[in-house]
Amino acid sequence: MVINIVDYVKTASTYEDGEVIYKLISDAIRRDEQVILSFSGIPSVPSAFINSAILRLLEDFSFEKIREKIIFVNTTKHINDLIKSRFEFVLSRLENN
Amino acid sequence: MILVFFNYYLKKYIFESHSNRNTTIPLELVANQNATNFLYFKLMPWIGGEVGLSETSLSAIRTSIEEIFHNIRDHSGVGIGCVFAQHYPRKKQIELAISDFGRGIPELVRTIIPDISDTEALRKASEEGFTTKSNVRNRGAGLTNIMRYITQRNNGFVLISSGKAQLSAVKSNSIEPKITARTADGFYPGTLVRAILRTDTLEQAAEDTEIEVFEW
Repeated sequence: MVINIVDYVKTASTYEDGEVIYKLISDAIRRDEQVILSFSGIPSVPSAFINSAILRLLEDFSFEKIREKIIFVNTTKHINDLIKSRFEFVLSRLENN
Repeated sequence: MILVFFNYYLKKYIFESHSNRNTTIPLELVANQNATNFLYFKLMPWIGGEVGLSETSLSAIRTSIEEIFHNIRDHSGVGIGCVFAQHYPRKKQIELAISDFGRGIPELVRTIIPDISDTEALRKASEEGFTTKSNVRNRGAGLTNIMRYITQRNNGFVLISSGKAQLSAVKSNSIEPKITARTADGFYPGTLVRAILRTDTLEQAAEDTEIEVFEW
């Protein structure tokens, strides 16, 4: 399933925007589909969007599953750094708890 | 509402020829529901015009400012903030001051850690992952992102005043900025975030919004 973010939300900014995308991704992974998440037309996003759209998936699926099922495309360095640093931080917290 | 200072407070202009400079965005009240419009259609076009860069290339900077507006919406408990911006061309700096008169960081942190001082509360709030859980929107990364990006990528600095404390974030040689919290001389009723951007390194921010293949 290809999820082109701008087709579903006006802005990729708030927790609520991210929640729309989270539901689409979460449902697709439950159906065991591969997700191609496209940030086309979005040069950067705040942490609230990444937290709710992607990080929250850790409540439903393992990191390995998320990594296997989601392919991020049309991303920028800013988006890539944010996704990776947020996962790195949350995973290190989970390991230590 | 734009507050043209003397006319608004004294009901008269000090000089007949008084007008706003192009290098200034006068103090403006911004309701939470208008924050996105203000940011996208007023503040960023103004910054772009001042430094001669496209809005797309400044979008990583825009995102940092957006985090501040999110903090006001999610934590302050008030529906409005205010913004002032000044470009200092000779100093190669743009200073943004974004404030609310809401609950303030120390009071919010004390809902989790009751006996913490204002200074320690500000330091605590700047730690990644710390959240007051005032609602589910926040997972404790907003302040970290603002400070990390503006200091480490833009070489600018961030000053936060709240309650009887002040916090500064400046560039360091490691991944994280150097953060210093201290007792303030006065009391700030709410939260004031001052972000001082360097205009001569903004092109670096433009590189951050170029397409890059994602790799874990």
